[in-house]
Amino acid sequence: MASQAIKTLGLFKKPGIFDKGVGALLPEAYKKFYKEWKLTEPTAVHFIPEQGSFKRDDVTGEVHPIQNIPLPVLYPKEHNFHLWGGEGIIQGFQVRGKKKRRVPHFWVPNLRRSVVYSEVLDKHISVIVTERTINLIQEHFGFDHYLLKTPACDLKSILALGLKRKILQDLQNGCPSYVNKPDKQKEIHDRYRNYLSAYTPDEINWYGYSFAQACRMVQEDINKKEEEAIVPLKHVFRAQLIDQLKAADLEIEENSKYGEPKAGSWLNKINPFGKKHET
Amino acid sequence: MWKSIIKPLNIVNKAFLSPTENVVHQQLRTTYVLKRKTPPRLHKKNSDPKPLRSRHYVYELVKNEELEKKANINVILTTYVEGLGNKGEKVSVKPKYAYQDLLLPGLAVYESPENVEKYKDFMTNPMSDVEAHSSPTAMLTVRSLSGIMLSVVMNKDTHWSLKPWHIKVSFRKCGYIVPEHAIIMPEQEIKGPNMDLENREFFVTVKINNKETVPVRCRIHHWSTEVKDRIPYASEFWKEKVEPIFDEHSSVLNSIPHKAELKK
Amino acid sequence: MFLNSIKQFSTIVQNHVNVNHILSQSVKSIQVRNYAARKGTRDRKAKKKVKAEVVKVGFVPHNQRNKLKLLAQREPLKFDDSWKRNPTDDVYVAKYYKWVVYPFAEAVKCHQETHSPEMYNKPNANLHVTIELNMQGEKKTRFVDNFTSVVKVPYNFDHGEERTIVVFSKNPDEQNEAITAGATLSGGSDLIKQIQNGDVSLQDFQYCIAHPNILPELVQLRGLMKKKFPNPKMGTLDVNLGKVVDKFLNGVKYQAVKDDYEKEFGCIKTVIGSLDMDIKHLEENFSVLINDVNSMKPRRPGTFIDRCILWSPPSQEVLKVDHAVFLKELNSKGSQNVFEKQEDYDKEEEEEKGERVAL
Repeated sequence: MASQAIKTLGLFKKPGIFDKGVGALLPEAYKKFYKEWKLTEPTAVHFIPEQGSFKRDDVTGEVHPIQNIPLPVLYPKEHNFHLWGGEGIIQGFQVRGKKKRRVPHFWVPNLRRSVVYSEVLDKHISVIVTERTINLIQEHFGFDHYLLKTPACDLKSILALGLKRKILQDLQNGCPSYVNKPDKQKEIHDRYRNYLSAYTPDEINWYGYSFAQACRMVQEDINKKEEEAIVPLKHVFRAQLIDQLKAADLEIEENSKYGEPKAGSWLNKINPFGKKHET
Repeated sequence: MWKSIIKPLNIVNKAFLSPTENVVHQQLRTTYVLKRKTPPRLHKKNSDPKPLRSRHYVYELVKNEELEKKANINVILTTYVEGLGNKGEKVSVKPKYAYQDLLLPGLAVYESPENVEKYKDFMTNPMSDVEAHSSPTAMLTVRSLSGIMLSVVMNKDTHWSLKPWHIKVSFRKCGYIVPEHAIIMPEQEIKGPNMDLENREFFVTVKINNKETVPVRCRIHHWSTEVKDRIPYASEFWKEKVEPIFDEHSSVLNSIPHKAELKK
Repeated sequence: MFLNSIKQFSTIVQNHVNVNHILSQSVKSIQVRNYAARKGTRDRKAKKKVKAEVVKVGFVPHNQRNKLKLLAQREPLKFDDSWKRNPTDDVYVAKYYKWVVYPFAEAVKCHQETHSPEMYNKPNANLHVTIELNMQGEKKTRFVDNFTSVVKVPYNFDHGEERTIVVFSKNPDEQNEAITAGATLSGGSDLIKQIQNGDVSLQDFQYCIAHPNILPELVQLRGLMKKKFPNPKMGTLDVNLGKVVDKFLNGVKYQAVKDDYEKEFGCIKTVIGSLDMDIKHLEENFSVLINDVNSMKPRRPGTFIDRCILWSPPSQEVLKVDHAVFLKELNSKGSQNVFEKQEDYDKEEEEEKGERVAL
């Protein structure tokens, strides 16, 4: 307790998701990804942030700091299966006339189905995207470049992050999609090789999973180990018996060195399990 | 709704390879860009931002990017594309067309610095593995000419021998500008007036930009100045399949797509 | 005393009453003025209450109803191919690119090719020209009126029209001159009398040409002639009768008509020669015609003649010609040609306009 107080300098740190339960068992690699995804400030998508640190008020002449408080954006669960390019739904109010009452409004991005091509995976993927996604892909000169360059906080959806993980894994394994075309394979690998330097292999394996998914993976790991640890008693006893018998065999062999049994003893001739019965 | 974001002291730099923030700030490229009508209260530096109230959720639309005109993007063609250019050419096209019809099918690549380097050679040696076409529109003209059936109207009473300028005039009447030097007549001379030639085909080769050649199906029609002497008009005569004047031409004529088949 | 006072009082009262009465009357009239509507109120109200006249429109067949709507959907008559690409290859499909602008000589040669004996075999076909005009006037809502004129062409050709000309002159020599030039009928005062009698009908003649010396007598026929009355602006009132007769007989007649709906579009269709004429002659004819048309240009920026097209039946080919080469510099309204035009006026104001005489 005291050591903790020293660590946190007396502040009571509320236990977060990584402090209890399965979350605590998650590896550092996943925590790094989570930080990049949920705990870094994403680029402003639906508003234009003011530049600079201070601003002078026009009327009063006072100097105020510029605090760009982002617009709260909603991401419905559907967006995890699409590529929205960082856009989301904004819930707010519209004031359509000076004397009119404010009216609730949802600004929803225009979604349309389009195709996206990944060079590394050599696949055309049909996804629901927004105009912004396409523009960003074109800006970055390619879908793979776009995914690998934008941080997780801007990619947001599980699909995008999952694709990023797949691309990184493929790059690590040397682009297995181009096994039949070694020239192309080398070319693609060289082009995207530099992106791998930012991640360790462990980090790549843990990249792009939601917290629940990651916990599930850890839990499965634990379960598997536990299962492997459980052995039925009969196996144990059987093994013990075999050991005992092996030990007994050795004794018999040892004993047989000292004497031989009488030959032709009438007891030896009796076979109680024999099938032929004289009687 | 509001979740506190722990701003780390050092944003992980390794993961971000190139700063895209600057580009995004200049051009937001979002569907909706909004602005608060009432700015939220200022908060102290080390404390959390003040909770937002309903009045802070009143927004006004600054712009809707989807309604604005989109600028063209530059791409480098990887094959000959009709109407645009040869392999290796840099073309500026509308972004939607570029993405759907050029980039996704693989007919072009983005104009990134690496691609510019890679495709630099294509411009200097155009004849590497695929023949370059003389111009972007040459193949369109070829396609157009291969489908037509040219009526060469010659006089029924005066003697004539078919010359390039007759063909040129016929082309001009149909709406094709073909100079005389681009027309290659058949080796055999066609003389008239000869009623045996009526409703029989021959072909003429047109050379575009001194490069692309296309055989054009032709037919002679005898025309008389006096109305009473004229041959009655046959409706949709171009759909009929007729014999060639010279048997040697039949193989070439069969290779040209026939209008009757095209109409299917 | 009392009575007197009463009387006086009554008179006073009466007087007072009378005054009152008078006053009331005056007050009444003043009252009337005071309570009346302000000047102009009644007029304003009456104006507002404009009765909508019920116009009885008879049966209109379905394809003539909503004409404006149909006309609005019609393609603009004005030619514009500035949006089309410029041709890059030597062989191309004409409809996807801008129209080829031929120099005049080449266009004529193209037509001569199609009409050669080996093809259409009609080398003497007429060479028609269509001149498309921008009839926009000095103001945006004002347009140039329709005009018609006859131009003297340097190289005459057979236009195939029947032109009947009647010439008036006192001098018999001049009359003979006119007849030799080709006028149908020529005469002096006796001819005028014949017309007045009814022996000769003015309806038979298209043009009436006169020498100024016979003008006072000719005024009698003014009512009968109306628009045909000779005036210097048209060129029909001239000293040199032979020249004028020759012009009206052999010259190129054209009429600029603007479209009812698309008022800024006007069109002239004429014949300037035949294909067997010398190309240089045809060029000269064309040049004269173009400059004549251009003289009617209103004083505003931009061109008057939009494009010139040459065509020659029986061929359906239409070739655009570069007319700008032939246009001569106009020196504002002071050019001679202006006075030789006839504008289609509704009112008969020729005499007043005739002040501008350039003889």
